[in-house]
Amino acid sequence: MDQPTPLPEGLSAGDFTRALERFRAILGPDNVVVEPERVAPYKKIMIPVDEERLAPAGALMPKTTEQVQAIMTVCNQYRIPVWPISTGRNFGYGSAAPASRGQMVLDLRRMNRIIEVDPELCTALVEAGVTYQQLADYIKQHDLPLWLDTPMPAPVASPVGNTLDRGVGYTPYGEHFLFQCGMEVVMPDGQLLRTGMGSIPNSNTWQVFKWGYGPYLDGLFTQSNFGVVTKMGFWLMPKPPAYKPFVVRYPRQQDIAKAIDTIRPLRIAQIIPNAGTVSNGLWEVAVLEKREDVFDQDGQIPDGLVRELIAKHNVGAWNVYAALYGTPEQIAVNWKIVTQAFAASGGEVLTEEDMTHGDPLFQYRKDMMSGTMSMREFGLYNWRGGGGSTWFAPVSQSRGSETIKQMALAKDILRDFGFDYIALFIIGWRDMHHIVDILYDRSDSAQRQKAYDCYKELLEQFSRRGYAVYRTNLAFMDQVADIYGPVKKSVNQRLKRALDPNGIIAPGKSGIHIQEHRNRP
Amino acid sequence: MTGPADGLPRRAILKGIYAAGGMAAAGALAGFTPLSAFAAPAGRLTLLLGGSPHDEAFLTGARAIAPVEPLTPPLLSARDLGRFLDEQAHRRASGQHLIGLLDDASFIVFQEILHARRARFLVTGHHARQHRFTSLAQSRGMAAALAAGLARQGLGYRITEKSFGIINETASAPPPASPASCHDWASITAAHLARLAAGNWRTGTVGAFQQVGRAGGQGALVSFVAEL
Repeated sequence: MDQPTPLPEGLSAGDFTRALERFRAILGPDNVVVEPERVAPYKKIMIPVDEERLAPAGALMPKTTEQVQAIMTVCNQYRIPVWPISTGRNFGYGSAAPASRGQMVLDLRRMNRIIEVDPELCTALVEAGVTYQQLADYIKQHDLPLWLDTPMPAPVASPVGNTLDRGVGYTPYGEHFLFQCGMEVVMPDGQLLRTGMGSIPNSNTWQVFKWGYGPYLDGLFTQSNFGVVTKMGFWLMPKPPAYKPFVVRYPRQQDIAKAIDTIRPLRIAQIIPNAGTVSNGLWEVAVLEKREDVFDQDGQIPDGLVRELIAKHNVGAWNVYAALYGTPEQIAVNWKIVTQAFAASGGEVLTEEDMTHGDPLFQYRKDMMSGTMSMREFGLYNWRGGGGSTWFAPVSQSRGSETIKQMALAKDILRDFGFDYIALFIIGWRDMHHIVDILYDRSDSAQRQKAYDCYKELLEQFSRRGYAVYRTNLAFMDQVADIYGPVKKSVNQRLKRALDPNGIIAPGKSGIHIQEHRNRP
Repeated sequence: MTGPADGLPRRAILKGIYAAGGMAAAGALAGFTPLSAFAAPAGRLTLLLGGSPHDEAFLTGARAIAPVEPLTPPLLSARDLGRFLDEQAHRRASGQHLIGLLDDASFIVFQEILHARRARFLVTGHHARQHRFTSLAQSRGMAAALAAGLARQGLGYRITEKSFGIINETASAPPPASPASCHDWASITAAHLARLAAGNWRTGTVGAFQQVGRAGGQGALVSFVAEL
């Protein structure tokens, strides 16, 4: 039986009705969503908690910045919390749902204007609801020599949403927040802030100079709840004259150390300039296979079977996907350096020419490392089936000995809970994002509980050893804020109280509340 | 999943070329598939199939109720599926129905695109270790109907259904019989979904149903009727 749509916490039904009338006057009746069946898509989650725990009271769908400002006025008057989303495709971290029951989703997908793309300066300014697909279509339609950098669910996701959650892609512009330049933010009191050079009248430098004057504020609006970002500028990569993707396959699990120690100096020196990936063999297999077809038992899939599967699919125990970019001459020089380094470490270096029959795993990495969208990696969601996925994403030094430690620890904990170690490392300049996908069947309540417990145990065991995640899902935001310590938490809380005294924007995001709060089951 | 132009998978492209001919075929070959080619002829239901081993049974079940036009992309392209839905919505009066059986991954993409276009599901069924339906007022009773069909085949099952806006479970008419050609969960489900899409569904009881016994393999699939 479906539960009724909840009211915002502490609000009477009468006040909610009056607030809805105000919202309808601002947005038009069709853009104020409270009917249970229309609210239902905002409740869809993949993370391992009961969706009713995160059920929103409804959704508001503004079209303009002025409407967002007007919404803030009503929210302050009635103390209604709103949870801003651009498109809400934050799949392994919580999708579109808010951090607690009874918030109104502020769905910005109708704010979908591409305001400017400058092909000479290689910059873009877009509204919050613009998708990567829209931008790709625009670039293609105008035949611009530019590349996007896109995350895995790119066609349905947005540059603003991904950047604000500090997501990553796979080209040399893969660290998205690094390439962000200028924001327009509706503050909780309705004021409109433009960061960087954006507050200068008649300025044409908003999208070319990040810092402006005085304290740099843009970071305050990422992974936070201090304002609603309605526009964002960012840099686009000029299409390079040449591009050479490659894969390096290592045969043994322990070879992750050799792989990382080989990549590190090449990445720091920018010989390998992109945010490539190092995926384990089971990740490769899981993109292509269903678990029930290869292992019909509970418990972690045994190492011996993993070896058989990676042999069957002709992949490595670890697989480095990276690329070279530039002129053919530049690539030729760097290719010698790269092949010598990886060959000396025992890796097998392969390029597209070596893939005689076409390799779907190589092809989708080739696409993604050149900013071409591919949803092939969604195949992971078929490994277990049942629509359950949560990403555990600790940061590691880019050092082989560290990645070995993290791999062993994660694998042991996952084994205790019966889950497979399906992981990759995203190659940063000096760090690795260690991405572990806990795949489970949401229709199986026992498995869902195990996935929750497993994530909790991973957080605790990793933090005891000095490791923490760079991003987390809705159910664990308070715990991760605790891991980052009381002073950081207190500073965030003081900022929140100063900027948003009524706590109307996304209470609980990244563990930030206006008062001490525990959002735990 | 897709070719260099992020086009529709080959089988669908070939189907489009075959159906449309002329300029449409030229467009498809150039990488710009004319999606009007994929609209079902009047009086037929459009069926989206994800390439699972249960596709054939699903198709059999739907065909037992109404003429259908199957589309069989192996893993859906977000761009082309979006265009397809737009095309369908543009060409038809609102209320156009799509029936589908997709793997989990494809369904995640499909539901996001559908939601972005403000279309809705009349019913969804998640088929893994158990069957879980989510229904609206006009589609209630899918779980009971599937349970009745599987019981007649002597198969085991665990089936649940939740329905929006339901206050109390109410007794209703017995679930409709499955067509004689339907022998497993996929074909029985498809027949009932086709009844719903064709406007011939009799709503029934919402509840949970369980019978011990041999259960056919279900994979990890999602069935649905979407209304554009």
